[in-house]
Amino acid sequence: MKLGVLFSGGKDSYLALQYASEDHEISCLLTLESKKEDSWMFHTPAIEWTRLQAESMKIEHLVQDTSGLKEEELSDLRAIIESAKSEYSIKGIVTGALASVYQSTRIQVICNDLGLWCFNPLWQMPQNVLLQELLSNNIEAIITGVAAEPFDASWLGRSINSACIEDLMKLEKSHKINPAGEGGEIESFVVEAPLFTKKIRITASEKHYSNFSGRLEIQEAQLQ
Amino acid sequence: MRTLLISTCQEALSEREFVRPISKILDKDEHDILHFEECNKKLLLNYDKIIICGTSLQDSFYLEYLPFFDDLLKEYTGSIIGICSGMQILTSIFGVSGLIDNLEIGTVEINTIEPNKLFEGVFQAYNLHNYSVRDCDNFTIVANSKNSIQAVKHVTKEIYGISFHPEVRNEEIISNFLKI
Repeated sequence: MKLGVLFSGGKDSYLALQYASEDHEISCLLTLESKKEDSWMFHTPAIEWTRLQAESMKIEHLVQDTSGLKEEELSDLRAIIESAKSEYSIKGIVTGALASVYQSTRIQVICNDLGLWCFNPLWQMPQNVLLQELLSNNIEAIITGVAAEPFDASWLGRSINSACIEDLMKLEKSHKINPAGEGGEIESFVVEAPLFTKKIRITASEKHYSNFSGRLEIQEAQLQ
Repeated sequence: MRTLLISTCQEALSEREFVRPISKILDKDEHDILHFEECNKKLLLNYDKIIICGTSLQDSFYLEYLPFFDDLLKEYTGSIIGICSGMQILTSIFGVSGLIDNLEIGTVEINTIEPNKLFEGVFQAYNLHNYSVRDCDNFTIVANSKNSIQAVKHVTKEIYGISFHPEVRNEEIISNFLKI
């Protein structure tokens, strides 16, 4: 089945894409670029760099700007899925939704209206399992956003490796954070993975951080 | 004691969404996962409980196999719970119920109307289906929502059908089924 993947560039949408690619043809990636930093539906930091990821994976990439306002985001999402259906004849959509009933309900409604299958291969996956899946699949993601106590600026740009996962699991116990960031505590960006033909090298970036909230602004990056 | 999870998914990718979350709830309780096409009557004798899992909204493949399910499950004596598509299968074969077109996506309020071993009271649950079942012979309605029948129990057997997805926010329903 030809599928389109809702792709934010983070670990969840990449992992969903990789699972889907085991049995299906991935025809395109769909990215909504939100102008608002705390989008209701979509992961935002580093999203403009998804084009490098698409290039590395040699998958067609549809990008749509969105205001980030709640209901407009949904009509923008519908518009980009409609474009993917007409341009690439996809039969279904893949998402990296883990537990958000809000998010998945809205995507299910749009897919159903358009007669498309909706696949959520990470649905209800325990967060520690998800983090281990990144390691066992050699997926390298870096942290591009934090939004919870006690994350300090040193977390920005950190690679989600086994030491990092160990620290996240400790914070789950001490501060009740969701270790894979399902509650928005962390955002990530995949720089290397099995479906990449080339690794992404970040050559210039700047941290913006205050009061347990921050993002890594990627200023320059290249395919290696 | 061993439980069998039966997949009704046409696409293996959907099993990550509809079967694995149930398997995760069963965790250390011994269980196996089989697609319905891999099942036969003799094999089912190895299990004292069966959970028939749901599938994707676009997937109606299982509806072409109702005679197969009828033959597979009619003489089975253990407990069965059917979730979503599984409920439609169970009421179709044990209750001879037709299905009603009724698209529901998202959270709905469930009202328990008959005391039962799986849940009680009023609670929120996740619905994702194109069809609901009709009130039918051999089944008692144990819960409903504003728009549809949400749970049924066979009048004599330990056979349950639930329309919502307990793996989302109502995991204890699966644990309670294992205790029956």
